[in-house]
Parts: sequence; structure tokens; C-alpha cells
Amino acid sequence: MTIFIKLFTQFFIDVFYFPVWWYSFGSKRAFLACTNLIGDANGNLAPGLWLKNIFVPMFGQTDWQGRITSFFMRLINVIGRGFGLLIWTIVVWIFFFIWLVLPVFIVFEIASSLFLHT
Amino acid sequence: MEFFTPASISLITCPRCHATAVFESKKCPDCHGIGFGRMIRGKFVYFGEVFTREALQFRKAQKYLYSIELLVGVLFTVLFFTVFFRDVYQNNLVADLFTPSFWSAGFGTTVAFFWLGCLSLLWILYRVKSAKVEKIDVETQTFSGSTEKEDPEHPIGTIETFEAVAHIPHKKRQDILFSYTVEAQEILRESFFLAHKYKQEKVLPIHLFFLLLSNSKISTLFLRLGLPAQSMQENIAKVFVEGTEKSDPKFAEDVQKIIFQAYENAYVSRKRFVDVGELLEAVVAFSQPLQEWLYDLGVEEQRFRNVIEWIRIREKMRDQYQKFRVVASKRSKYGLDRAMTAVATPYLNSFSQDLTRSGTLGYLTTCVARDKEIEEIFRAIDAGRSGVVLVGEHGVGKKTIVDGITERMIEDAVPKRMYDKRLVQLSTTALVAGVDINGAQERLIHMMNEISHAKNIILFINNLQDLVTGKGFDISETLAEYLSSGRFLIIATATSEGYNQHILNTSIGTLFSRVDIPEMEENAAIQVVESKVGGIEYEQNVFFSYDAIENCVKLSGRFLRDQKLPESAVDLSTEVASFVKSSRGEHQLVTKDDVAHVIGQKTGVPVTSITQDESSKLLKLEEEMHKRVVGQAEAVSMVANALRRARAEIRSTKRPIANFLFLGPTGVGKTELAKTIAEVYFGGENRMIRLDMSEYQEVSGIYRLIGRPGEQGTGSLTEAVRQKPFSLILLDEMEKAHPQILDLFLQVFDDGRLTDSTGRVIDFTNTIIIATSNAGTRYVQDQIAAGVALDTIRESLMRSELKDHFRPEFLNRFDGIVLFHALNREDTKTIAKYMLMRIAKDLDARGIIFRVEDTGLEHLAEVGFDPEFGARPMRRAIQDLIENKLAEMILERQIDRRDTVVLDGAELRIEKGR
Repeated sequence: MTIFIKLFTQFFIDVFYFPVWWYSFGSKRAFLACTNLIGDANGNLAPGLWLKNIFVPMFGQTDWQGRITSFFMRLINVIGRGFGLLIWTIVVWIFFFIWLVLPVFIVFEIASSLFLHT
Repeated sequence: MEFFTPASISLITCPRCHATAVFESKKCPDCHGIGFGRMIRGKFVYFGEVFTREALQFRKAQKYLYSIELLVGVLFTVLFFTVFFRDVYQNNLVADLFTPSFWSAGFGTTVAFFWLGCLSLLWILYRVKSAKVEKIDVETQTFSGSTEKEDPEHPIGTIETFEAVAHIPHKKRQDILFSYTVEAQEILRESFFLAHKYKQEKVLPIHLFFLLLSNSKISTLFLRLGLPAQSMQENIAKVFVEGTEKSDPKFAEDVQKIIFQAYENAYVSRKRFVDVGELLEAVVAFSQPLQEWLYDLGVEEQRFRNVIEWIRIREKMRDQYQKFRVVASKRSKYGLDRAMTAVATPYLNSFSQDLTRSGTLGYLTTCVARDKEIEEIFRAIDAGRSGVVLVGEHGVGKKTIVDGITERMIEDAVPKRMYDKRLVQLSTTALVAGVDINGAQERLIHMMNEISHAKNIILFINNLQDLVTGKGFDISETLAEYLSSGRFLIIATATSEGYNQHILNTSIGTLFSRVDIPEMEENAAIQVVESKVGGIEYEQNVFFSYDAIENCVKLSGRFLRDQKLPESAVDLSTEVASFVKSSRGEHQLVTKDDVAHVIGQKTGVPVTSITQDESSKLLKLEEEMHKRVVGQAEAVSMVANALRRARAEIRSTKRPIANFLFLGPTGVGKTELAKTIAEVYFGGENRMIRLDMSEYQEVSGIYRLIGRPGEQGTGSLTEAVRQKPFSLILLDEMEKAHPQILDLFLQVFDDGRLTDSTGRVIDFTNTIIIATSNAGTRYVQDQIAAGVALDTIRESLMRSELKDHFRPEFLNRFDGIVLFHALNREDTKTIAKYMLMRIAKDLDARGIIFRVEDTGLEHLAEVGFDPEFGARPMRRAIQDLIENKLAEMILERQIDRRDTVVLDGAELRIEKGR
């Protein structure tokens, strides 16, 4: 019998824990997932690596023409890749922001549609 | 019987709650709900699960609660959205859905249903994500052996009270519950209920073992050992007796230790989580009766460990593969480094194969149990050497090690010099194809320029010795010139022979750092076969038992000496699998006898386990041999004993099967006995290598035996044994050989090996060596005639007569000096009988019957017996008296089919048939 009481209590705890979890452990997980996504993108696009090698000629072309071409090529790459990474970062953070705002927004919408407009 | 003894684990257990973490239905105030734990590597480790019936039942029920909550969430989501869309549809609001006014004004309840549906979706997300417990990886070992330095305040095992535990900061405490896999956790929980069911006071290791047997991984493991888990469980269940305990069972101290030991096992074997395999290992380690029982079932420690390792290898391979795929997908497809500083190498590409590229596509062989060698190679590279050469025999796995290095390069788990580089294998055949030495050199120079220009290439040359043979074709100088600049790195392989002959002490040899790759030892080779057997099983659709794998390694190590481990064992296992499939069909178990059978077919040596039929035959070996050898009871019994020892595997495998010196006059059956042995043990008289030692009276004869220096295949003895390693070697008239040649045999008799003129070691451990001699025969015959005991004769023979011919250390190395008697008249008669039987058999084939009357036999004995010359005069007598006459009769067509030829006295007459 006690086990049923306990389960019943647990059910209520679970319900009340929902918002608590969402803004504590849930947010932490979402945050980590976001940083991982950005980290992966950084690993793939690697603008930092291109910047580091900006004066290193590409494909071993060490003559001056090669150096100039490769400098500009690398510069374009750095800008392009950096921009790509920036966009991606923004998108990811928007997702995180949605995570934070969504429950409040939904509750607000429910309340407003039920009580404000009727 | 002792299995392995784990290092002692000093636990602290809460006396108040008896390690249950609960006291009077509340968290135990003394241990703060920890129950039991230990200090290790500066951390306090505990298992954060409450083992009371109430808590465990609640945990079970909670799972159902979670499912119900999830289900409710799904139902509400469906319900709310259905209502929302129904409202939209019924009120014709579809067109308004995309207008802001719809959401902000007027349709209050309809919109509320939509948002309630969304909220239910969030609930589902919450339920799924929060119920999923994050697993915590087992600590990882660093090269110094532990993750952290020992905490001076709390070194291992010094913590004694829970008060002290309370002072340990939280980050230095570790709950290992979440390092256990769900399966392993469940087994611990279920063990509690099992003990409770039988009203036991304590949960014991046997309870855990019983439940482990229900696990599919563990039951497969025991099936591989030939033990069906179900029948094992039935046997264990008989031991469970219902007790009288009414309260909850508590974990016995051993079980508490098992929990930590399993964690240690995972730590030592670098596993991410504690799984059932680790738990099983710990259970067996802490239960003496279980060990005894397993031992009785034929599971010894090493076998047990190797099977556990098998599960681990399979899991590790799967994990690594998944991890590897992710990393590999990030590498450039065009052979460039990530910063694009590298240069394309079109010329080199046409003469080579990019190993890193094939690696990312998944064409590498898995490298197992070679961590030590790979570390050594990395150390050499880290130390700044411009080349590393792996030296070892064919088949020891040099190329596989290179594949292992490639794999690590793709994962970037390599020294900095190898980071983000390509490993490219030079194709030596493509290099030399269609050109002479100058052309090859030119190509090489071109390639080397490209490589040093590209900067991201590590060159791999398989079998370096092929390029540096020294016989007109040598590009070592070109290689050395580029290597010495230190601009790039070369990894190469070479055979020991090739390295010693062509590379050592050359300009190129000094540039390379040598790493020896020895032949694998048995256990490592077993692990390699275990890692490969999955593929073989999949292809052939058969199932390997552990014994079969072990036998593959053991028997190929012993009998397939031409190849090295592990290659020989892997090849053998493939062969056995296809043999089983073709002989018994698919879905069959490959057993140890299947392996022995295949080895037997390949070598002609019987190695299958001895059957009832065969063992009775072995016990009556003397009878069998006496069918061919007349008299000589002592000689026959000595030889029969040696053969029995060999067949029952009670002999040293480091020496020849047996060495005998047969002493006796001519014609008494020495050679006949040797032939009989070849027939009985090796399965045919053609398995005999016969050397007439009177041909080796000069010291130069050594070169005829072991070959002329530097020329392969010229040794009459070494080459014969290399081609037929399973044979009987008959050394006739040993006393006539030059003393230095006799010395050559000292090491053969002792170590079972001989090095030929080219440096190859020839294996003699599967031979029986018989030397015959008639030295001292006169003395022996005189003594026997005088009635002196054989042992005494042998003793005095060794001390006096034989000393003139053989040195004492030579005589000492024989397993037995066998004295052959001179034949008496009765013996000669028996021999005559055997010889006549052969004639009868020949005539029978022509349809002619041959009969010998007593008088005929008597006459033959009269003519053919000569104590001096043994059985040889008898052969002549039979030839003169019978065979010659028979030949005449046949040519003159005197005999027809169905006629009978009768030997009566000295006369040969014909009885006409019907």
C-alpha cells in the first residue's frame, strides 16, 4: 500500500519538477548541446586555422605570385568561414533562447487566450 | 584450485544500517545513505543504490510510472491538437490560421488548445530526457597508470569511519552506480530479489552468478566454452535451499567487494562502463566454490580470462568502429592537410597507395594486442629518427601494426610529427616495372622530391629488403641520401634475414631505428584470432568454440612452423571453418577436434583427442608392431612406450619426439622396426628420411647435411626435414660418420632444432630420430650368449666398447639405447612365414593359391638360417627356392588360375584346380 502512496506522491513531484528541471538540468543540457554544435562547426570550418596560416602559401607555392594569391585566397576563406561560423552560432543561440522562452511564452499564451480574450 | 587473487579491497561498511544505506525506513544518519565504500586513487568510491526491498520495488514501480506519464503526455498532445484542428475545421478558420488576428483575438479556447498541445509536447521532452540517466565513464588510465596522484590525506584504504567520509569534498567522491551498464545494474538488483525469494540472510556471489547466466552475453560466453548456461543454472538451482530469514537480505561482504572489483576490472581494461563481463570476472574471483566448480567443468583461469577478453575485444571493436567512422569522415578526401599547405603528389600517387585514405574508407585490418610495439615505434619517431624499420618474420603481423598506426593517424592519436599527415605505401613492383636500376632510381628521385615538397607524407615501404638486395639492384643509396636530410619520415618493414643480410651496417641501416616484432605469444595470438573470428563466422556461417580457437593457436604454433603466429592461426581457423561448413553444413559448432582433424590432414600426424578405439589400439601397440618385427621384445616395447607418450602428449615439445640408438648385428630388424614406426606414427613408410652416414666420413660432409653457405635448399638433411617436418629420420651406420658431424646432432637431440647454412632454423621437434649402428655387436652377442642381463651389457657397453665410436655426451642424449638380439632358428622361421605370406598375397592376386607344408618351412629354415647374418640369408633362400622357380612356372604357363602351388620340403609342386 505504501508503495502506491509513494508513487502517487512521486507523480506530483514529477509534475512540479517539470519547470524546475526545464530551467536547471534541462537548460544545462541544452546549453552543452549548443556549445557542442558550435564546437563541431568550428572544427569543420576552422577559420582560426586558416587565419593562423594566412601568410603560409597554399599548396607549397612559395614563389611571390603564389604567396600573394594564397594570401588573398586565405583571407577570403577566413572571412567566408568566419561568417559561416558566426551565422551558425547565431542560429544555435536562437535555439537555446527558444528553449528558455518557450515554456513561459506558452503559459502566457494559454493564460491570455483563456482569460484575457474571453 | 586457485584462480587469480585480486588485490585486497578494504571496505568500510556502515554498522548501523548493515550497508543498506537505510535505517528505520530513513536515510541512515551514520553513513548519510552511502552504506559502504572504499578509498582508491584519492577518491572515495561508493555505489549509490539503496538495497532494501521497498526501495528496489519502488524503483521498479517508478519505471512503470515514467511510462504512464509519458503515455499520458502523448495522449494529451494528440487530444489537444485534435480538438484544435477540429475547431479550426468546423469553424472554417483554416484561412485565418496564418493571420496574426487569429492568434491574438477572438478564438480564445481554440488557440488555448493549440498551446496546451505544445505544452504537452514539452512534457514529453521533459519526461524522456530527465528519465534518461547520464552514464558516467569509468576513470581512464593515463600512461603513468592512474588518473590522479594519490591524495596524501587519504591514501588507499586508510579511511575508517563515515565521519571521515563526511569531510571528503564532493568532487572527491564518486558514485560508480552510473558507470555500470543498465544490464549490470539490473543483475545486482535482481540478486537481491533472488536471495529474498529463497529467504536467505545474505546475497551471495552465487546469486549473482546464477543471474549472470541468464544474460545473453554471458550465456554465449559459456556456450563458447562448451557449457550451456541453462543446464548450469539448473545445477546451481539445486544448491539453493529455502532459508528461514524473514527480513530483507543484506549484501555479503564479498558481494560488496565484487561491486568495486568489477569497477577495477573495467578500469584496468580501459573500458568505458562496467558491464556483465567485468561483473562475472569479479564474481568468480571472489568465490572459491565457484572457481572449484568451473575448474571441474574444465574452465581454467587462462581459458576463462581469454573468453572474457573475447567479449571485450568484440565490444571494443564495435565502439572503436563507431568512434572511428566519425573521426574518419572529417579527413580530407583529396590527401590534403587541413590548412591546405600540402602539395598534390600526382607522380607519387601513380606508384603508391594512400593508406590513410583506404583507412577512412574502412579497409584496414584491426590491430590487436600490439600496443607495446606501437608505443615503441612512436617513441622512436618522437625522438626524431627519420625512419623506423619493423623487423620480424613473415606472418608476425608487421603490416597489421602499420594498419594500427594508420588508424591512430586518422584519430590523431600520434606524436606531433605525424599529425595531419598521409601514410603512403610505395608499391615496389610499380617502381621497378619496365625499367632497369637507373630508371627505378630516377623514379625514386622524382618521388622523393615530390614527398619533400608536399610536406604531409609519411612513406611506408613494405619489405624494404627487396629494394636493397645488393645484387645489381640497390636503391638504398638514393633512399639514404633523401632520408638523411630529415625532411620526411619513412616507416618500413623487413624480414630478420633480409635485414641482417642487406640493411644492417649499410648507410640506410644507420638511418633507420630498428623495432623488433617478435612472434606473438600464445595468449596474444588467441586474442588476435578472437578478433578475426567474427568475420570468419559471418562468412562461413559456423560458430567457434573457445577450445577451437585455442587449439588453432596451439597446434599451428607447434605444427605449422613454416608460418608464424598469429598469421598461421588465423589461416588455420579460416580453413577449419570452411572444412566444418563443407563437411557438416552451416550453423555448426567448430570444435577443438575439427581443428586437430584439419591439422592431421595437413601434416599426417594424429593430433585429434584419442578415441576409445584408438586408445585400445595404442595399448596393444606391441602386438601390432610384432606383426612386422619378429622377436626383439625389448626394442619393440621401448619404442611402443615412446610412441604412447608422444600420442598422449606426455613429452617435451622442445625436443624430438624420441631419439633412439639401435645396436645390433645386420639383418635382425633394425630398419624394419624403423619402418614400422614410420607406418604406425606418421601413417606411411614414405614418411622416413634415410641417411646413410657412411657417406659422411669426411668433415666436409657437414655442408651436404646442412647446405653450402649462402645457398638455399642444398642441405640433404635440413631440406628434407623442412619439407617433411613430420617424419622419421633414420641415420644408418652412425658410427661411420665423422665425429664433427656427430656433434651437429647434439643440439638436434637436445633442442630439436638445427640452423642451416643460410641461417634458417629447422624444426626437429616433430621427428623421431633413429640411429643404427653395429658397433660392439660382437661383444653384445657374446655377453648375451653368456647369459648376462641386458642392462648390465648396456652399461658396460657405454663405458667400454661404444666409447671408441661415440663420445659419452652423444650417447647420453639418446632416450634409449636399444639392443637387438641375433635371431635364432625359431625367429627365422617366423620371418620366413611372414615373407611367404607376402608371396601368397601376390599369387592370390593372380588367382593362384599358395600353401606351405611344415616340411617346406623346415627346409627353408635349414637353408636360410645363419646366426651371423640374421634374416638376410632367408630372403636369398626364398628367392632361390621359391621366387625363381615360380617365375619359371609362370613363364612356361604351367600354372593356371585356381591352381595351388605347394612348398613341400625343397620341392615346389602344382596341384591343379578344377
